[in-house]
Amino acid sequence: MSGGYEKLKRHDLKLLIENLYGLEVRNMQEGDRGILVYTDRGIKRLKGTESDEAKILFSASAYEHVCNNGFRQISCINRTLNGSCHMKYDKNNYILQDFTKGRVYEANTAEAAAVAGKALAELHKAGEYFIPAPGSRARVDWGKWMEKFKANSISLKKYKELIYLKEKKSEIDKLFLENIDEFLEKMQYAHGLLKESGYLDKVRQSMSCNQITHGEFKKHAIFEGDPEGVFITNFEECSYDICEFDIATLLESFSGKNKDELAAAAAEAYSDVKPLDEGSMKIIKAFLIYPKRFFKVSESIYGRRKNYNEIELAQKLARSIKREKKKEEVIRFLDFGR
Amino acid sequence: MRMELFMEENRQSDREFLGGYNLDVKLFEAMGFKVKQIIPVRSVYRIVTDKGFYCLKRLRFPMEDMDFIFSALEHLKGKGFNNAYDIVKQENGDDFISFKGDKYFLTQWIDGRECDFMNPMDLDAAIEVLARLHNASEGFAPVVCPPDRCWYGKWPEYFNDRIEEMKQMKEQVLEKPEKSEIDRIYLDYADMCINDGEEALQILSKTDYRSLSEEAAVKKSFIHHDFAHHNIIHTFDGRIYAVDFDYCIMDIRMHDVGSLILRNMKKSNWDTDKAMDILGSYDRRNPVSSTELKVLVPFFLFPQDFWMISRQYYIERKDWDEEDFADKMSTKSEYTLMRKKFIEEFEKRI
Repeated sequence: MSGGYEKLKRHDLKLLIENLYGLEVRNMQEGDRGILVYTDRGIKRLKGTESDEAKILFSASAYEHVCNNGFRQISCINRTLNGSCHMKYDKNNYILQDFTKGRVYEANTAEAAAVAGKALAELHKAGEYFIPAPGSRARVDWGKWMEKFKANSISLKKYKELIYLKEKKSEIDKLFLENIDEFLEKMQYAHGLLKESGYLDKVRQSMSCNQITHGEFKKHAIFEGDPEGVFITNFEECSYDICEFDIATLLESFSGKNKDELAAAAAEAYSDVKPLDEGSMKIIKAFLIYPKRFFKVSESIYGRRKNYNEIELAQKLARSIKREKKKEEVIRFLDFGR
Repeated sequence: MRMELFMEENRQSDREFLGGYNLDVKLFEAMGFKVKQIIPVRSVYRIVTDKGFYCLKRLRFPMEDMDFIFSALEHLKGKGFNNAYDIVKQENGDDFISFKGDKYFLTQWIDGRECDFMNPMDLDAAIEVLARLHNASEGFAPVVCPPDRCWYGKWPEYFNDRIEEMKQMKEQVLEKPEKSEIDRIYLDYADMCINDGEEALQILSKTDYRSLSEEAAVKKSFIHHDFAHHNIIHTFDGRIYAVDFDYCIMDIRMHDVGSLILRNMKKSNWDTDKAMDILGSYDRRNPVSSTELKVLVPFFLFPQDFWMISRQYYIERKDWDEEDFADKMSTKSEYTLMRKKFIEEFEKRI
């Protein structure tokens, strides 16, 4: 194969897929998101994954759960003839899914944004009462955000103090110092908002119904589906969490000048299927206000200090600041839009 | 095997330990079932058999230690503590099976998710289990208690031993003509950590630690000694289990409580509010005396992480990646600085 999958030997792979899945492979072609496998039972997509077997089993059973609960706009992970959810090739794990043609969904009108919001609500409804297959390793994000916000703001304060102690400050240091106070304030505000908005009650509710969420519900996870519909991908990152996290991720991914309008339409369409109360809106706002990109880049610069490339990191930091500021329009909708 | 003061998560040693398993079909035949799948999970194997799911463990301690562990589990069960796993007896009634020089045992497999200490609900549930475990542990009278499993009154001795070791390691590093990155980190922190250790020892001598130990000895209580998030399993139908009692010892309960706080502090950037919440939550279930609280101060001050990682490098000479070691050494050394600020705040609030 060429590109990202160049180490794979086409013939070996063909035989392996045929033997494990009982399919007749007619052709294979590398695509954007894996290898397209043309079989006697339709086109499949073979995708490499860094997850171990237990994690794959968790997401495979989540896929099956939402499908069995009537959410069909998703493509389950195919099982092998002996029931396994993955195949191993050259020490790496791969999953095979049905391929769906289509482009990344363009949610640039209120109507289109509403379709995405509705699909997410339906996915969440289908994701209730999820119990994974035995032996799964669950990804769980229940209840961690409040503490994470607090711990991360302590880390940023620590970095700030360390930079002040430096005699000679680099360009990154200067950029960091120019913005840190504003972001620290946002972090504290987001933490306070979660605390006062009944975040833990929402977690309790979500835990009581074993709510599975998408975990990465942004633009690239939504594809154009059948007429006027959407198709959801990248469900492999699914986790137990509150639904508000996915909603915030969706609202944040809207771009263009009418972001606030799109966010309003998506939230309203979501709420028609799965009602959102005032507490939910505040939690979504907290997730949006929290400067996760800025923290992530700062952490890689001052915390982990790995792969340190000054120019690249300075660009990353500048980009993260820009993107944090772009969220403000969506946040404004949450303040005034409802 | 040396017992540590409090346990650290260590995936490297898990992998090394798993490598020592002799997974032979004949082992499973001797256990009386057919194995369909074997999956490594931390330091054990989850095995899927024709008779259900099990957890396979290799005995990692001498037989008298295993007898101690098995009888501790029996004791908890007898006292109505249903949050621990059951040992699956072999066909001949034994708790374990011998195979090619090793001994293995089976427990029921508990399917669920690991506890997340960042989730306040999970943490509270874990504290509830710990408090009940401590209560149920009282009255434990094992037939044999291996010397390494009896820690009543031994903290000063262990503190002392570790301080001496840190001093010896320092000498060893100073004698090296060329210093590596790890050596430099060690020397940067060694004096401070040795001082902290000595200060911890001194503070401990001024507490009522001895009488607390004597009380615990009279009550015959034991502790889990490895109450990490991955040893607390939440099933999806709402039950909670404490697993892996391999390191249980006879000691005062503040050892477990202090370790739980430290584990949380490392994740929460040494947030004193959280430490107080944990103590408050435990205290609601099992009232904690002011004497017990005071013992926590030297426990927190002792540079356990620094001593342990240095020991693994300079004495045990673990065959781990040098860069990983340097990273770990650096992180754990920084804990020493952060824990000092935390202790200052903690002392004001207790």
